[in-house]
This record gives sequence, structure tokens and C-alpha cells, in this order.
Amino acid sequence: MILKVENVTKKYKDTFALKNISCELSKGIYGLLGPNGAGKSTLMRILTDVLAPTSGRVTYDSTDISILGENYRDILGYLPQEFGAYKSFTAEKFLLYVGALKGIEGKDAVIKADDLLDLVGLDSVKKKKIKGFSGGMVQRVGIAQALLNDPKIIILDEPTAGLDPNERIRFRNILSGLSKDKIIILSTHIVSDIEYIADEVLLIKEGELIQKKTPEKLLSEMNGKVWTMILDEEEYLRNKDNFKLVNTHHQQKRVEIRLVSENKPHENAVSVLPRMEDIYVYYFDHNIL
Amino acid sequence: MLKLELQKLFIKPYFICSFAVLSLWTFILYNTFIWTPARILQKSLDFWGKLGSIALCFIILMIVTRLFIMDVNENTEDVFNAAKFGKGKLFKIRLKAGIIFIFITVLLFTWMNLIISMYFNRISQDLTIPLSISVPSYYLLQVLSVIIGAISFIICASCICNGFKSQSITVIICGLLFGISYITRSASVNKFSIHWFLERGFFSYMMRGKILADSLWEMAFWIFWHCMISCIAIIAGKKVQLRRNEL
Repeated sequence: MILKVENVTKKYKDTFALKNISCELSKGIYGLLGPNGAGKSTLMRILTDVLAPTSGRVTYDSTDISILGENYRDILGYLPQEFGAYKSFTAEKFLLYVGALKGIEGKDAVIKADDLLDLVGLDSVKKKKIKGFSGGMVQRVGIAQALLNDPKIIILDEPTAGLDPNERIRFRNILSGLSKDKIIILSTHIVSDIEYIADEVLLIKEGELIQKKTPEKLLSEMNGKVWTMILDEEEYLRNKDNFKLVNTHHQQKRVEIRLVSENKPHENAVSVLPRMEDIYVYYFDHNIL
Repeated sequence: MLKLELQKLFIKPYFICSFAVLSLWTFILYNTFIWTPARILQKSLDFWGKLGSIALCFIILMIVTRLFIMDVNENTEDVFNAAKFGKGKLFKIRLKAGIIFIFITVLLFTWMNLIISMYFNRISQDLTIPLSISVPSYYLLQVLSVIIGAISFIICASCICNGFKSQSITVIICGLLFGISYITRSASVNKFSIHWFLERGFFSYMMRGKILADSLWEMAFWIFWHCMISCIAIIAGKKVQLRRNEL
């Protein structure tokens, strides 16, 4: 079971959304990380065959997914970034509708929908109309619909957006449980989601794939590049534009900062163990302050 | 699947629209009954001429936008496109649901029109009908014409709507094509003139319950013409859809 992206480029008028991306994905969880507009969602839409690439192709077990068509979509579960559901439908009815589109009908569909609504914690409101649901509840309906056909490939675009910490943990556990025999690709801005469950991380910047490594490997490469130090406020204000800051903590007239830097940035700086958040700042030069 | 699509269509605005149309028609027939009772049945034959056909056009546009634009409005388009039957089959099922729904609507209006006119019909009446056939045959022919016109119109509107995924564009294009028949004066129409095409060529003439052709070859010509228009709408819809995805 191999999903292969071969030299995929996507151009919108004069703008490149993706530039010659190639990678190979087998069983496991892949985290897609990148800033807004990096091309993550475009890549995901191409992987789901919703969008055709300008050049290049995506193959599943060596066959182009556009040729596989229905057969490919049959093993696919997808949650888009802006997921919506028919507001006039109940959660159960909406899942039955999506189930019918996925080729699951009758009693099987009812059983599957009930199981999934239970899994995402919506069992008690399954007969209620979606128009009364909160954003997090709609997102959970989205997660449930993506899993309806027991897919081999699951593509989730910011699945944890709008979920509270408990729900995020529940969701992460669901994904971990599913990952044994599936390809799971998820993009998120919540770095900790990837840190905990991703087998590999794909870093995308300005439409290019800049890294594809395990979180451990990425973290080990960051050893000696993450620092913390305490500066007085004046010094901090003087130097803050020169730092790639990860975090700042103001304490009266002093500021405790965490930053990434190739070299020791200050005589007071102390090297600390890197986290995924540091990787994000290191690669995407994200000026938080 | 078909059942769920049909359920999407039986909504409040449909019932309100149908109720309003039938109430208005009852009022018109009641007035006829009061002032010219001998013309009740003649009047009932005119149901599709204006009120019935305009209501049908309105309902078709309403259900077509409900079937094909709801996904865009509710952000479900990508989920459905990534589902096994989300691309080709879904369109066919929705079109089928639309056709069944409009067929039911025509039958409902026909029955209600019959029931209301029979209720008011208290005296024997002389009817003038355009063809030398019996009144029931003419009535059936009229309903058949409405059904064929409405089905052709819904196919065309569905393709336009599915292609553009825009309610306003669909309403403008379909409304224009539909309305042409009403603004073309029948008296000045010569066969194969531009007015002839404008009056009869875009479904609404049939939806008004008028008999499109008076000879077999003319019938063949109109079948060819309407098939051609439907094919153009299907191809144009596909092209626009592809272009929309590219952008």
C-alpha cells in the first residue's frame, strides 16, 4: 500500500501553489506542517483527486489515482479544511447520506453511523439537527464521515480545529488506533498533535516540500539550536527583532525568552531540549511577536 | 440515495409555493364561476398557459438550486467529490430526483386543477380546443406536453446550475430562456423565422401546455432541436465545471 506523489505542480493563473513535490507514503501517520498559504490544503485536495495537478501525478500502488477513480475514492476518507454539513439534517441522517455516497446503504450504514457517532461522542445528539451544533460538534461529524467507509487512506485537513483539549486527545487516540494498517495524512496548526502521533513530518514552505523526516530525527537535528535566557526588558526590546523567538514570558522587568539559533545568541543563553514548536519556528521563520 | 435526495426537495417553500398557486387558481376559477360560469372548463384548460407554467418554472429553479448549489453553500462539495459516487453518479441521481419531483408536481397540479374545475362546473359547457380530438385526449396531450417540457427544462437547468454552481447565473440564463416564449407574439410567428425559434425553442412553449408541432416531421425537428440544446447544456456545464476546478 503505497501512495506516491510524483513531481506534482499546481499553478493558479501565475501563482505556484505547489512546486514539483515528490514523496512516497506508506502505512503510518504523516503530519503536514507549514504556514498558511504554504500549499498544504492544495496538496491534500490533489491527494483526494478532488483537484487535478497542473503537472505530475499521484499514484496508488503504481496506478494513477485519476485512472483508479471510483476504486480509489472507495478507500479514501477525507475531511476538508472548511468542513460543513447540511444544517437541516440530523447528524445521523447526514452520515447516512454520506454513507450512501460512499456505497454503504441499509442496515450496514445505520450500524456504522451509530458506531462512529458513539466514537466521536455525538451519540446522544444524533437525532438533533446540525444547525444547533457548535463548531466542535460539526467538526466531529466531519471526522465521523471521513471514517464511514473504513478507508485505507485518511486525509484530514486541520481536523482538530475547534475541538477542546479533551476532544483533541480523544481524536489523537482514535487516529493512533487506526494507523496500523492505514495511510493517515493530517495537517494542523496545533504542532503538539503532530508531535504526539505522527510517524513522519512533512514540512511544506511556499509550495515546496522542504523536509520529510520522523519527528525524532527532526528534533535530534535541532539539538544545540534551541536556547532560553532571561534578559532585562530594555535589552530584550533592543534585540528581539534579531531573534527567532519561540516564546516570551514577561516577569516584572525581566523577560524569559525561548528562541532558535544556529549559534549561541547571548552569553546568558542556555541550550535546552528542542520541541516541535521550535522546529516550526526554525523552518518557517515565524515571527510570533 | 434517491430517497434522501427527494427528501431534500420536500421543503416548506415548495409547499407554500404550491399552496399559493392553487389558491390563486381557485380564486380565478371562482371568479369565472361567478361571472362566466359557462367558461369554467375552458378556463381550466388555460391553467398551464401562464400561472401553471410560471409556477413550474419557479419550482424547477428552486429545486435545481437546492439540488446542485446546496453543497457549495453548506461547504460539503469537497467531501462529496471525494466520496466513491460523488462525482458522476451523484449528478445522475440528483437529476433523476429532480425529474421525479417535477413529474409529481405536474400530476399534483393537474389533479388539483381538475378537481377544482369539476367542483365549480355546474352546467354543461361547450369547449373550443385547437385540435380535432376529444376533450380528454386534448387534456392528456396538454399534460404530456407540460411533462416533456418540464423534464427537458430541468435537464438543461441542472447542467447550467451544476456547471456554474451559482444561483443567480442559473436564474438569469434559465429565466431568460424560459421568458422568451411569453414575450414573443404568436401572431407574428412564421415557421423557421427567428421568432418561431424564440417562441418554441426553449422548453417553455411545451410547459405552457401548447402542442409544439402539427406534423410528424416538425415533431422530429423539435425533438432533434431540444436534444441538441440539452447536449449543449451538458457539454457547457462540464466545461465550466472543469474550468472552475482549474481556477
